[in-house]
Amino acid sequence: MQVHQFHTQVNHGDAIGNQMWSLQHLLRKMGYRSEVFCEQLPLDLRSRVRAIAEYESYSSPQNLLLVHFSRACSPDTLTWLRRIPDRKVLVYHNITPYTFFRGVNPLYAEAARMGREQLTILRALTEAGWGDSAFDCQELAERGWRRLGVLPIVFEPRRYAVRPDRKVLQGWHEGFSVLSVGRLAPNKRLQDLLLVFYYLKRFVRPDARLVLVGSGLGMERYVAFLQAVVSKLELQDVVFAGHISVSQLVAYYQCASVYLSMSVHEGFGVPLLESAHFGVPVVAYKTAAVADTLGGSGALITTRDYPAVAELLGLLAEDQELCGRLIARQRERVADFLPGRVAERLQALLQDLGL
Amino acid sequence: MSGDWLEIPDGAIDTQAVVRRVRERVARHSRDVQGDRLDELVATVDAIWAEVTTEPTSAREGDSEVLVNLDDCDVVPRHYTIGWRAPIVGPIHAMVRRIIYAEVRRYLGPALERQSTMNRQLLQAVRSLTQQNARLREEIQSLREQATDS
Repeated sequence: MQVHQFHTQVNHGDAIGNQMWSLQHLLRKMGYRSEVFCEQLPLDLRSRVRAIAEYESYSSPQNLLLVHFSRACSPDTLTWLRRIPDRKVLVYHNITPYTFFRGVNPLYAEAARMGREQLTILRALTEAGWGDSAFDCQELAERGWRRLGVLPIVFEPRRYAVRPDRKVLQGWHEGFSVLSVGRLAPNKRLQDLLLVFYYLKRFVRPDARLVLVGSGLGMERYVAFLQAVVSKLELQDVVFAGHISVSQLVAYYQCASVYLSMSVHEGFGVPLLESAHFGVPVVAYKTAAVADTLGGSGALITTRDYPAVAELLGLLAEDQELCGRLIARQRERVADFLPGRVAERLQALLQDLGL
Repeated sequence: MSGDWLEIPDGAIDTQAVVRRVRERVARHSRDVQGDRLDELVATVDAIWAEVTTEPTSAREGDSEVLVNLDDCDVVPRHYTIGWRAPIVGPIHAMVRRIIYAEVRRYLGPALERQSTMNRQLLQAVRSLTQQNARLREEIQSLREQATDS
């Protein structure tokens, strides 16, 4: 029996790429033959990923192909998916609504719009839809999928078992650090973080710093906007860390006092789990899949009252008991995403398909 | 500020008590904070957003259009990555390049950041001058028409 996976693009270190490797590992442990295929073959992953042209030799009506979907794919790929006789399941990682990219990157906006349109085509090609979260499944249900299941992102602590970057540790271990991790994109509402930080720095914690970790690739206009805001508000100690290595990421988490998310659209939220793993209390705007991911842990806010959010961060810094309780609950939550738990979930979903 | 803006789904934590404490802290700082100032800042952020995301409109006759966006002002190579393909020599080559790049960036980085900031300020100044120029042209035109009529 073979269960293979496909995504348009597989990159080293991105959340979907990591999920595909984790699922491949779990599927192989369950006794399935499992390979990863993609449309655009990355140079540095040739040994781990195969081009879809190679799929012909694997294709069979008895196979199951997990079609990961987070962005528009080419018409050729859709034709290929129509042509192969394999059973297919959509694994939906959500697509950020195109309206967020309007005026920032027209190509991204178009790709996001097309991606959502392609869901209609994929509905006819797949027999079930699995989402990273209940929020993702809700969207699939609205688009006509009847056979649904939640297959969460696998959280693998061993990925973070590296020596933390010494320079980051030395530079940032003192003071009060507010951390945000993720692509610098308009749906993250990082301007709200800057406004919270403005209040925090002036009235609550003058020693505070804001660290924004994440690539701004393709979002240059949004990054320019953020930098213009930093300059206009005369904010000191805002760090744009960019795209960083795992050892730097680990160091930033180790230095963080609190993780703050004001994002208005998240299909899952890996950094929320990373924060929980590293014992960083999470304060997050309650939207999309954020509450699903945190699953009863962390502090959820439903306000954009910047002074209130800043004071809450200040309170967490001072009240060790409250902070400790939040961290303990978050740690319990992470356990739900460990490979063993997700393997049980995957097994159940495969059984539901008769495998 | 209502009390239902915070959810801590943990029975051991009294969320209402946390909200009360936050409210007290906000009230304590309210003398220092001018509410209007925060509103002003939010409006400023919105204005910058509108400026950044609005596509330049086509030039009217006689106007000089500024075909530069805020993101064009940033001259810092923020996404420069050093990778390799060759299996053995590649990592060594990449390491040497990284050391050189880090050294170059150490003295060139701050200068480029200052240049980017200046570019942005210059662009804003040029845009404001362009708008002023357009207004003055309209005034001259209107005065000319008035002079012709009389």
